[in-house]
Amino acid sequence: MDPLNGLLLGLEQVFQPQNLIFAVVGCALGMVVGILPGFGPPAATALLLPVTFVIGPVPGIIMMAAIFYGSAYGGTITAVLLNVPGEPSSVATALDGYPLARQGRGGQALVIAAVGSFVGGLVATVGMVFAAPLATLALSFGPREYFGLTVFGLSIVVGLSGRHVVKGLVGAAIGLSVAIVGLDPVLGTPRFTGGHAELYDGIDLVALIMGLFGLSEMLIGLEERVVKGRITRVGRIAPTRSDWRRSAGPMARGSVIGFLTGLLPGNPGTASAFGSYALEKRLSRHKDEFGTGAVEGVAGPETANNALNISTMIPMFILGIPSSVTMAILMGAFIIHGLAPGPLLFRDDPDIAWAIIASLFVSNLILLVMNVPLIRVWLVVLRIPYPILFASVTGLMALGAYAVELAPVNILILVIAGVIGYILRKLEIPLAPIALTTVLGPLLEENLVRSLLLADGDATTFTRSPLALVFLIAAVAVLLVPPALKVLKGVRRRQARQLVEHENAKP
Amino acid sequence: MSLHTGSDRQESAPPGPSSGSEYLWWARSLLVANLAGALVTIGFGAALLITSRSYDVRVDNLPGPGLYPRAIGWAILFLATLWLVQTALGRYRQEDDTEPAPTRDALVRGLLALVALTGFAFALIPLGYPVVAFLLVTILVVLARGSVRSALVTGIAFAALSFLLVTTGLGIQLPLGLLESSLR
Repeated sequence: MDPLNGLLLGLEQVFQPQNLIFAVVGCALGMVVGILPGFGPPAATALLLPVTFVIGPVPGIIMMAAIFYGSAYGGTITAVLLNVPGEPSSVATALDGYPLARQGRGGQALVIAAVGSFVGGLVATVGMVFAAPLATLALSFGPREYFGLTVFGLSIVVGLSGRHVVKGLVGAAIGLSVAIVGLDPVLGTPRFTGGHAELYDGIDLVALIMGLFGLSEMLIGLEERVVKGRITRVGRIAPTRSDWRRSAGPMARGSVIGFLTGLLPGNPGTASAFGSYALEKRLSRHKDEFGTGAVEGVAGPETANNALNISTMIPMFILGIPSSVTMAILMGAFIIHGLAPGPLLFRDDPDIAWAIIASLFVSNLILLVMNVPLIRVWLVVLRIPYPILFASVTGLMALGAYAVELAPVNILILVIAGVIGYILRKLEIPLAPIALTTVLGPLLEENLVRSLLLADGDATTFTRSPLALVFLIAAVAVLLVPPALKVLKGVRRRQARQLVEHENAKP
Repeated sequence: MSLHTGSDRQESAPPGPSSGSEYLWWARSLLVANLAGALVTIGFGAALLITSRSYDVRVDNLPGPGLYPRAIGWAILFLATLWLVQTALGRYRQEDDTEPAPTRDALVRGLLALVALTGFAFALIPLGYPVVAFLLVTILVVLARGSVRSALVTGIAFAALSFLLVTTGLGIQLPLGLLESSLR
């Protein structure tokens, strides 16, 4: 199906009342999530995973995707008006957004940010529409290539997920071990089930994800001291003609920066926003205004941020490789509903694939419309006391864990996963690799064993597929090159120091 | 997410080690936690290897159901040993952006919240959803330092609204327990 016909098919689906309603609900929830401190998109999407069972996969996934990028819009409001970025990616926006707000131009900064986000989202969605047919290339992949690709995607996420690669790998291995509970995907042998038939399908993904990401985040929230800010005045809403003129270039450049950064699995969300900020500061004719209220400093990062949020979805849609925790949860939603994210989605369920892509256009428009005009409504959310938020969200998680299978044991899984998630966070073991391997584990095993079965158990089969070999070598390089460079740098520095000491010691 | 980018706000101290003694406590705990974490993970990897021996690695000279778990077991064992060595070499020290120290008070409150959730799981069927949901949420509000009054109001509102939403809106039957006769 060509992109335009696919998009039309998708739009037809999105404009069905149920899907439209859940897009609006998702956008509103995303705004709330972005505004609320201590409650991020992973926790929110995990919390709403059970709801998709009731409303169905298409509206459910549309809603979850809207929460994901809606949170960026919400995070901007607190970044500009309170100097408290709701999301890490909004930190760059606060650098100039807050000074603008203090000058009484908060409303104008928010409009520029909202329009920038819309432009970035629009450009990235168009990019996604035209990138989607690339999924058909991946259809020619065999189990060896898929195995190589999955290992490569995983290595990038581990490599970029934090400063401790070993800990990232430990996290990935833990996720893989969780995913082996249940029936062996090739021969159907029950493993690590303790004879309990309810574990044949594996550990309940909903309770597990809610615990690891949602409950652990709420527990962390218990120890954080509340940040209270003085909300600055919104002031005049409409930006001046000069504001628009100064923002056009940053928006265009931010769209490209955000789109390209988002394609990289495991990308740090803040990289594109700060990259755009730095670029605009270098190019601007008003360099001295940066840090004290330059409108370019709001337009560029915000545009880049939202373009990144959309293009982050591309690796998952085209290759079936989620590039962030939220994407892994979204992928979990696909799998729970029996859908195969990646190229198979475009072949087997093109209506669903295109509906979700089309929903990005519509949800971006909804967010633009509901952002600034309802600013005072969103600020009310900030007044919800944390105890009430903590108790309600935790209560909803317990209810969600139970409601999926009407099994109280899933609440215990939620609690155990919450404890593990909390400990892992404290030990700085990144959660993204765990989420990825928990979701991708069965696929990884299936492709590994299939490859070996086809080669009569010969492990060198991977070296006979050039593509698989490239992926595997690249995976090793991604993991080993940065630490090796670091060691090399240390050695050089030591040598230089010794040389200086030697020179100084000369009479 | 509470991130700080400016200074002229009315706010409490940022999270993280604020005093010298707290810093030392967490620095020491961080080392102990990393050592313990690595050792527990080594134990987990070993246990995985031992238990996976009951599954065949090869069936008719082809990969069996034990191959993958065995490979993961070895991977965990290797990586966790590496983690242990790195910890012993002082790789994981307290730094400015290290995850902030949990206060003992927050740990106790978190633990009690988990006990409350576990109690919710066990009491759900005998007592019924409306009662346990009210109890859970009320306790959680108090644990998060909310007032008793707001806890009671939130507990009642949550139990009633979530029950109605799930049973009427989503069509899922929740256990009624003690209220079986009065609500059916």
